[in-house]
Amino acid sequence: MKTKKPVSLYIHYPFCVRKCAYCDFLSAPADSKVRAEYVRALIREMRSVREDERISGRPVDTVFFGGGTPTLMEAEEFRLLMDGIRQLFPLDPNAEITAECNPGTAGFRKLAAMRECGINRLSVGVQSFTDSELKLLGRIHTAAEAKECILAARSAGFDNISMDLMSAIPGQSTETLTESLKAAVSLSPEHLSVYGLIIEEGTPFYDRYAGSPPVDEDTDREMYALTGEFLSENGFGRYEISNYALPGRECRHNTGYWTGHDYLGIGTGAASLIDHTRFSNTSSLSLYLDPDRQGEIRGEEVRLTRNDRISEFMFLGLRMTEGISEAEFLSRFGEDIDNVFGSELAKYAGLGFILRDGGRIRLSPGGIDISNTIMADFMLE
Amino acid sequence: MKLKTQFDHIRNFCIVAHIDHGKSTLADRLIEKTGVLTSREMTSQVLDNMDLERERGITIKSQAVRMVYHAADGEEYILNLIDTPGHVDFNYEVNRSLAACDGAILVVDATQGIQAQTLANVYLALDHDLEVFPVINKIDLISARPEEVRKEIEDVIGLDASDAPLISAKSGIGIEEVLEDIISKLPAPEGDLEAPLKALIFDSLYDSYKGVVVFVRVRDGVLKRGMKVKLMATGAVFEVVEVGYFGPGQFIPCDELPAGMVGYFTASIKNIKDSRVGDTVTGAENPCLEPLPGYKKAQPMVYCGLYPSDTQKYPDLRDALEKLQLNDAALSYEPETSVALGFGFRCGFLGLLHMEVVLERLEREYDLDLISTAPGVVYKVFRTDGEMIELTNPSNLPDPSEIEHMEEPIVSAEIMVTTEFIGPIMQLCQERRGRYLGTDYIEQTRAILKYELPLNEIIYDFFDALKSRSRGYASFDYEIKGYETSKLVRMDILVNKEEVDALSFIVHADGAYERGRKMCEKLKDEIPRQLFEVPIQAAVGGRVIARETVRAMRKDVLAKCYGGDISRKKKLLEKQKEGKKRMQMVGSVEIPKEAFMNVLKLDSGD
Repeated sequence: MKTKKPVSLYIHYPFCVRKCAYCDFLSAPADSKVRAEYVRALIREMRSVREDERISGRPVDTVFFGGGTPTLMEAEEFRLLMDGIRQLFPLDPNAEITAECNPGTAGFRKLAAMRECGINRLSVGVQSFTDSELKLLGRIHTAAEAKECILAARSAGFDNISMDLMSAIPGQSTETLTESLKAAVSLSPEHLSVYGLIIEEGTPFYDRYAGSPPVDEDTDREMYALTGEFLSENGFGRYEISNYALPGRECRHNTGYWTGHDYLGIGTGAASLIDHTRFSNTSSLSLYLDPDRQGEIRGEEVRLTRNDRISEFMFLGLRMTEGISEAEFLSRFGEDIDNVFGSELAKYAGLGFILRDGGRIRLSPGGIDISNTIMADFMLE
Repeated sequence: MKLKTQFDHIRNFCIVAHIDHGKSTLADRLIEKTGVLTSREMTSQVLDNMDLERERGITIKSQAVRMVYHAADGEEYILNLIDTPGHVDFNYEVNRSLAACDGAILVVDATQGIQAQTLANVYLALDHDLEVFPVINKIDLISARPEEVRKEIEDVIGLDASDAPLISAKSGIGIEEVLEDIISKLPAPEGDLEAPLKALIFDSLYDSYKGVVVFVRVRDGVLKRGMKVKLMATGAVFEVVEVGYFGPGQFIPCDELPAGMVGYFTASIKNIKDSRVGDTVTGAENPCLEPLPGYKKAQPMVYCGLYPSDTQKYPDLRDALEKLQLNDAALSYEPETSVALGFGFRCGFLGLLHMEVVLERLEREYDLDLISTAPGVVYKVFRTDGEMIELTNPSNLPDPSEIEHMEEPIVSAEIMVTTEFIGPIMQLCQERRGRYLGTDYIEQTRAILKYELPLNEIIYDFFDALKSRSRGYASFDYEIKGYETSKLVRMDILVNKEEVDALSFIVHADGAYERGRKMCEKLKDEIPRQLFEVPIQAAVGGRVIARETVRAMRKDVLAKCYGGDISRKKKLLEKQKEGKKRMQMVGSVEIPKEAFMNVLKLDSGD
């Protein structure tokens, strides 16, 4: 029997203790009753999604609990969801199962329970090891609490831990960033994500900083470069614009997004890509929670054209340090990449922003700095 | 024999005014009052047909309408109103419209009094021997000062304004009085019905079904349907298919147009050049001996290069220009090429407003995306070998060693201004190389400044500068005076060390450094950061006199892109790519298309 194509599962948990000043995700505080109701709705959605013949029977090779703050869930709720996933989908025994974790919400007992029910990777939102920066960001934890959380996770049995850090925080200097990186590395994580702060519209930070960016472009790029150098010296390779890992510890779930792997999003606002079709769930919590309106939660499905797929292949693939494979392009689209993008590739290779070797095409460090400008040229109408 | 009684009941007239003094509104009221249209059918400003005219509140093309008025004396009169443009650029159009009239109504705003174009237009009307009577408009406004304005009209223009109707065209006050004055104060046309046909072409437009529609004022004889007519300048003979008069926004066919009347005819004329404005139409079988005095063909005064942003659209641009020219004889164009912009046309305009209007019409009505180069005037270049060339494109300037001397066009300008702004306006004129001729005071608070100014100093942004330095109170009118010798040089602009021919312009040597510096500053703001550092230089005769640098783009990266971000990110990148389409590649530098025009507006923000 032909094995079915695997799919990744993303579970969105839209609740948090308090919204951070820079956050534009679908997330808000809510009382425990609503949160419990939401977990039941997640299981309801998974059950109904299973009826979709495009999905049913496909093995799930990665799971990712994102938010919001998934660790706001009770240990029991994690167990409920994991049991549900196992019952409803063929879960690969080697699946990578990640949960995002806010250090202010996860103690040893909860972490141990999570590990026990099958979650095998943690992505801890540390952001900074400087307390004044954490306070400015509106985080609910201190640097010491973040450290404690990592140690607790280790003793709870997690052997695959990632930390999120931020650069270009208002008031941050290259020195305090280096301090945070050092502190992070001293905790021996397997993976690090270091994001330049994005001032998003509709956030308190936007009102405060949109007019005059808190960190100038030169400093921003200096921070980016020093992050890459420092982590490389400590054995972490950059495998995507903002992601670093020890060899073999790259996040499989996220890598799927950049390489065109199918994914199914469960929960409010969650996005899916199934068989070249994209769709997203409603972001309305009340609609999502209403059992009688289960049929209305999914938004319009958009079938990707060949050009859409080529554009996505390019701009997502170029985010990866290893770039894209010319052979892969040919096999996916039946056309030589130089037929489609010969002049663009030549232009950026000539300027040193794109490197071509060994049948692969990738961005140079200079190319990463201005990657949007480059990627825009690979968009087909 | 003259059929006097018939002529007695016709009036051919126009309305002249400074811009915004209410000319078009008065026209609307007259049309409404005489019942050509019910007020329900009236859209505001019936005569301004083009969207552009309504939006900008200006009249560009001449329009005409025939009204029937039942006067107080119990008689029925035919009133032919010929609407004229008010702007100095279109004086040429005014001229031809006036030639079709016997009288004019002068509209003066009761709050603003006489303005520069009031004078210019009233003098034009008097030059054409038109009978002129004044009306004072907007009397219902609180700031109206009708008695002062009445005195101004008498003192400054010398027209009897003692019984000038006090009206409000907007509110419909005094319209009846204006209509009675048209009958009593304006003369009836004269002409000889028995004489051979003699009619003046004062305008024409192209209709894709009927061919050229020729607008005429019949002086002598009768223009009849079916007769053969000769156009005297070309000698071409046509059979008249349709004759008629003008309803508001429409043509109303009739059997004949007798002497004294204003109307139109069609005769399957395919080429608009065959029916030259100003030419005389006569009968082919019984021609008149002498044509009517025509008027000079409008000379384009301002030139610029027009290029399609999409080089594939060159034939579309050519077709569009051809079609526009059918209705706009003053527009001229010939093909040219630019290193930076490819294939395009060097186009000639009456002035900058005319240029803007043509650009807007090309973009709106023909859906073209255009790049325009620096507008310039016509320079006379006298070469050492004795030859003189009329230079319309700075790129064609011969090597300085081959130039004996150059001349540039000079205008006589009158600027009407309240006395408190005399200082700033005089300073502006001085900055623009103006030669002060004198000041006439109208009253204690207002004056006319007289200057001679080089045309090339006023074509870009002089009008805007004038308005901003007088808080909108100055008005301005000019006429071409002639050519004068001037010390001129060509300024070249180099972007990333490459000369951008589309940005070259001619400038007076004394102002070159300042202009070069400002151009570079302006371009620096117009050109977005590129993938590499871009030097911008201004050079005269190969010598760099100013430099700015556009720094290389430093950061354009999205830190996060996960499953839920992909669609949004794709849209952002698509938008970014769209943005690149608004750029023109010059060498390896992307320059926004607007930049070619924007860099010329030097006065803004100073």
